Amino acid sequence: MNFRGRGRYLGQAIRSVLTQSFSDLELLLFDDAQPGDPPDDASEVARAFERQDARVRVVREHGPGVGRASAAMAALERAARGEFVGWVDSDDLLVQTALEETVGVLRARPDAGMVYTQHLEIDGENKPGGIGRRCLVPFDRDRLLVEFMAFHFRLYRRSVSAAIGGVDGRFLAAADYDFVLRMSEMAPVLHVPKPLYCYRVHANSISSGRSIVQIGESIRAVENAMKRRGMWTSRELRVRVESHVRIVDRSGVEL
Amino acid sequence: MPFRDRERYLRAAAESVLAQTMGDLELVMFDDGSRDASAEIARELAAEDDRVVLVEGVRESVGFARAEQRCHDAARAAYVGCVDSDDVLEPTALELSLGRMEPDPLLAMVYTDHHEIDERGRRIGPGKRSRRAYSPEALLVDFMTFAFRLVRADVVRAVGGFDASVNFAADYDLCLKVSEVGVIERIDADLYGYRMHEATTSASQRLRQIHDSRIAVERAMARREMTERFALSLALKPSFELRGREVARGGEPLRLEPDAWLRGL
Repeated sequence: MNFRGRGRYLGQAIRSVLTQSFSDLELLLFDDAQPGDPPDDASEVARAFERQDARVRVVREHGPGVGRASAAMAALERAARGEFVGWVDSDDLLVQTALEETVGVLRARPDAGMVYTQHLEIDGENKPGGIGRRCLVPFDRDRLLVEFMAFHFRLYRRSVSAAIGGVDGRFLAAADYDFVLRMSEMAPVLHVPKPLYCYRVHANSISSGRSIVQIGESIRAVENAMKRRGMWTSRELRVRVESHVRIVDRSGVEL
Repeated sequence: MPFRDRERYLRAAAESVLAQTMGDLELVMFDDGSRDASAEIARELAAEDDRVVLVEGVRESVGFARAEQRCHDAARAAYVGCVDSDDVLEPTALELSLGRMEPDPLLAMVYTDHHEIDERGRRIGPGKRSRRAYSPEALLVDFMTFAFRLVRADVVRAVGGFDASVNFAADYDLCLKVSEVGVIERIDADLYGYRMHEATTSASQRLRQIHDSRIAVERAMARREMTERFALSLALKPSFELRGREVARGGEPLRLEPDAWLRGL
């Protein structure tokens, strides 16, 4: 979990992890504050939890590239000590039995490298919308090249991640997609068709939708996967991008 | 009409211009670094019809905006129209658009509807984008003036022409600038065939087009002093598809390296 500047939901997110039915866990929080940054509410929240609960550890790392999600993911992965690792975004929530169920799946299938669940969309007030559509697509290693269905919540075996070199911190916005593509080439990926993760959808956010960088990086991740899989000379990736532009006033109302 | 690697469609595009019912025209062509037979086709066209003006071409592409600008610089007429080198103009396009503009000195630009055609020139169906209603504000969110446009040459010069800093959206940027200085009207007639084909745009071109369009709109908002109160919201929906790789005539698969621009992201 990395959180800087996202104080509003952080406490809820942390509590959703610490109250898991599977309690033998370590919660790593990534604080990407740089020397000289102003104090941040979220840092205070994180430190308070660290004082209260021995399972919470705040990881700090300074340097170039820190502050972007992939660098945080890489830093947290280096700091992790458990057999399994899972990611929770700092404005999302984990359903109470998420870890218990996913750990159970990976324990029962020692050959598997990763398991993922469905996710429920929630709004700013925690009101549930529907089950996220992308996780209804059945998992298939080839289909993963055109659809990133292995979305939240993912739990993976740290030994398999170490074997593929972990998260590639050079990706700014599609490190998770690249990571799952590479994981799926090492070991089976399993699916629990239950919504065990709450994914917060922010209404009226100015930068809604996926960014150009994220789409460009996703293309790169897929093309790299096609090369690794020996498909590069026979297959090609075609991409269409629909673009919808709106002019909104500063409070988010459409002109 | 700048062109690059369009041997398959260039003749049809040029002939659709030369066959206009309003025949008092110049067709300015520019070879933007073609690696196929396009330049040869353009020379043939120039030999066949002295209304074809062939601007000296380049070996390395100068990019869409500079290529368009070179054609505009060479054009001598008071009105300039743009036809892409893979599209076709209906025979009455110039007559109708000029007929609208000439009596009305307040008009800076007119644009027409379009339909889509396939690789063989067969009609697929009506196009949607050019049917959206125009206003200078609506142009900020929809590029409805993208098909056939006739613009006053002095207006193009006055707004600075094609801006290479927004290369992939230089035509959109130009229309936005024109919409701020003059009146634009839509001609309610389908006079442009827009070709849908595999090579229309690669993913990296499309992303650069989105990127440059965004900059063009943000600049327009700044010129219009909207920036303090309004912001641009861009929602992108990508869809990926894997296909058998197409093989070019020489037996080599097309595009065997990832796009350099994507690698640089």
